[in-house]
Amino acid sequence: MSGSVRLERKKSSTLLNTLKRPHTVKKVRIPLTSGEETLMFPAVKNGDVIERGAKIASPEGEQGSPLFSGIAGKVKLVERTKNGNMVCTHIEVTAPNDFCQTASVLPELRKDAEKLPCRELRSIFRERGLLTTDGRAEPLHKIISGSPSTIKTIVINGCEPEPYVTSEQVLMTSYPTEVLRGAEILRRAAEAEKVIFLIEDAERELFELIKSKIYLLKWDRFEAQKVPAIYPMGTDNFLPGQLSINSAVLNASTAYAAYEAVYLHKPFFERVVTVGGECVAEPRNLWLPLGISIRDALQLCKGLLREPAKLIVGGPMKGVAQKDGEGVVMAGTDAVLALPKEIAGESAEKPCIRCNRCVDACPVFLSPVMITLAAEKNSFEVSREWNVEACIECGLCSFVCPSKRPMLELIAKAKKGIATGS
Amino acid sequence: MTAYSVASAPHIRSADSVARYFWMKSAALFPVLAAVIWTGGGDFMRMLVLSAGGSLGFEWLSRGFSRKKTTLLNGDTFLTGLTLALILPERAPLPYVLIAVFMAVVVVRECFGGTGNYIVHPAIFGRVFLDAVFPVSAGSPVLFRCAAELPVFAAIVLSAVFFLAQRRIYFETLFYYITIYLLAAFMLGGGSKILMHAGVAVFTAFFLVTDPVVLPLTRQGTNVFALLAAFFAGVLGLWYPAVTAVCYSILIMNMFVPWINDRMRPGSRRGI
Ligand code: SF4
Ligand code: SF4
Repeated sequence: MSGSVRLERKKSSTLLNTLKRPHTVKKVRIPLTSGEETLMFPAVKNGDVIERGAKIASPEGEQGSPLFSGIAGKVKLVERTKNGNMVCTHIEVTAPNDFCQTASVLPELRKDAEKLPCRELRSIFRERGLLTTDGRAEPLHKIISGSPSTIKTIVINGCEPEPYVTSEQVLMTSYPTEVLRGAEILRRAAEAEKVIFLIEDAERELFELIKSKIYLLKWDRFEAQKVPAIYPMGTDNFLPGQLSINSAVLNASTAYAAYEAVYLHKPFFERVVTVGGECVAEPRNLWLPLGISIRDALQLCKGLLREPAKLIVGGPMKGVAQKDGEGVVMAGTDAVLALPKEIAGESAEKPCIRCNRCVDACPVFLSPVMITLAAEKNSFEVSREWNVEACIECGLCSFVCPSKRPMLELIAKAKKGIATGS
Repeated sequence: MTAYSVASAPHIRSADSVARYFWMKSAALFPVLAAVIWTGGGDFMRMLVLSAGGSLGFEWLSRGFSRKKTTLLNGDTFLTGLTLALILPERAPLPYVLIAVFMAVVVVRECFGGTGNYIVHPAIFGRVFLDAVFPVSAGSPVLFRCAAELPVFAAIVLSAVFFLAQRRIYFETLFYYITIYLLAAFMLGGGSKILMHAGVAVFTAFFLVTDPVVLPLTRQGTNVFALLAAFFAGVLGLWYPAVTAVCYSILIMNMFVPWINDRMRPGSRRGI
C-alpha cells in the first residue's frame, strides 16, 4: 500500500489522431451564464444572421464576460418566463445545412502586443470573453486582477492526471511557442514575477519541448517543473504545498486563449476538447465551439462503435455523467467520454472490510472510511468530527475501495447534512 | 439516444475486490496447508475438511435462516475455516470442532452482520472459546508444535512471501510484530526454541494479526496494534502455550481497536 495512486493513463488512443478543427458544426446552444450568477443580456435578436465570432450576449456590469458564437448562422433566442418576465436562457445558432464553417481570415498579428500595459491586457481579456478553461470557468480578468502584489507567480498547470484526457497536452505540443507567449501575457497582466510550467513526469517529451522553447526564447522568468503524475495532482488546481501560495494557477489552454485574444484579436468561443473512450470510433482532440452538444461532438469523431454505459463530460474520475447527449461543451469542458460497461459499469456494493486503502489513498489525509461509515448511519456530526469538510472530492477513496462502496456519494450526503443542519 | 446512467463520479474503479482479497489470502496459505497435511497426516485432513466445510455449511444455514443473500463466494468464511483448522489441535473431537466453528461463523460473524462487521477475529475467537470453556479439549495445533521442523518452517516463510507479494499489509507492521515477539521470547528464556518461535511469529504476523476487519484504520494505529499484540503474546507465553498466548493477545488488542482508531487519526505527516 502506498500513499499515492498512479492511474492507468489510457491516453494513447486519443493521441493517435491529430488535433482537428471541424468545419461542419451545424448548431450550438449557449446557456446565458458567465461565471457565477452574472446576469447576461442577449446582444442579438431572433432571426439575426451572424458571423463566426460575433458577440451574442453581454454581461450586466463589469464582472462578467460577454459570449461569442463559435459558428456562423441564424440566431434563435430560447426564452422562459421567470417571475412574470421573459428571460432568455439560451441562445441557439443554427447554420444552413450545406454550409461549411470556413476558418475566418487570419487577422493581422498585433505588433505591439508585447508592450501593452497590464490594464489594457485585462480589458482585452474582458472584452474578448476569456474564461479560465478549468473547472472554475470564471472570467479571466477577475482571477488575474487580484490586488497588486498578491499574485507573485503564474503557475501554468499542464498536468492531466485523469485517464483519457489529453487536451492540454495536445495543445502544448502543437503550439508551444504560442502557449509560452500567452503565459507571458498572463504574467504581465497579473504583474507577477515568475511563470512556472508544471508538466507531469510521465510526459517526458513534452517537458523537454517546453524546456527547450523557454531556452530558445531566453525568458529567464520562466521555469519548467516536473511533478509526479499522481492523481489528483493538478486537478482543480490541487497542487503540492508551496506552489499554490501567492500564485494564480491557470491551464495551458487558458494561456493559449490569452495569446489568441491579444495577438490575434480573437474572442473566446472555442476550446480543445478530448473526445474519447473505448466506445468512440475515432477518439481524438477537436477544436469545438462552445455550446456544441455532446451528441454532435461524438458524431464529429465518426460516432459510437457500441452503446456506452456512461457518457461523461470531463475525466473519468471527476467528470459528470450525462443522462443523454444533450449537454453542451462549455469553457471548463476538457473532455467528452463514452465509456463501455466493462469500464464504467456499476458494481455491487459490499460491506467495508476496513482495509485502509481509502485512508492511505486520500490526498488530504482524511479517514474516508470513518466519514462514510458515519454518513451511512446519518450521523453527520461524526462525519464532521472526522473533518469531512476538508474533502476535495477527488474520488480516490471510491476508486481504490475493494468493496466498491459509493464513498463520494456518502461524502456528499454528509456535507449536505451538515450544511442543512440535520 | 437512450438514457445513460448518471451515477456519481468516479466512473472508473480499481480492479480490486473483496472476493479477490479473501481468495488470494486463502491461496497464499497453500504451502502451509500442504506442509501441515504432510506432517499432520490424516488427522489434519479430517480437521481441515470439518473446519472449512463446517464454516461454509454454518454460514449457508444461518444466512438461509435469516433469509439473507449468501456471501459464500467472497471467500471470507472459507478463509476463516482454513485459519481455524490451522489453530485447532488436529485431534480435537468432532463436537468441539463444530462448537468452535459455530462460535466463529455464526456467533462472531453472522450475528454481527457478516463480512466486514465483526469486531473480533472469528477464527481466533472460536479457538479461545474452546480453550476457555473446555480446557481439556484444547492443545497445541500441529502447525505450532512443528513450526521448527524445516519443511513446515519453509512453508510458513513461503506462504508469508506469497501474501506479502499481494501488498495488502504494511511491511513495517509485520516487522514490528516479528521483532518484538522474538525479542520477548528470547528474553523470557525461549532461546533454545527460537526457530519454533520464529515460525509462530511469522505465521501469526502474516495470517492472524492481519485480518483487516479487526485492525485499526490507520498505518500508525496498525503498527501500535502489532507492537502491543506482540508484547502481550510474549508475556502470556510465560504461562501458556504459544497458540493460546497469541490468540489471547490478538483478542485483547481487538478490544482496543476503537480506542486506537479514535486516538490515531490520519495525520498530515506523510508527504505526497
Ligand atoms: S477502501 Fe473501502 S473497504 Fe477499504 S476501508 Fe475504505 S471503505 Fe472500507
Ligand atoms: S474524495 Fe475526499 S475523502 Fe475521498 S480520497 Fe478524495 S479527498 Fe479524501
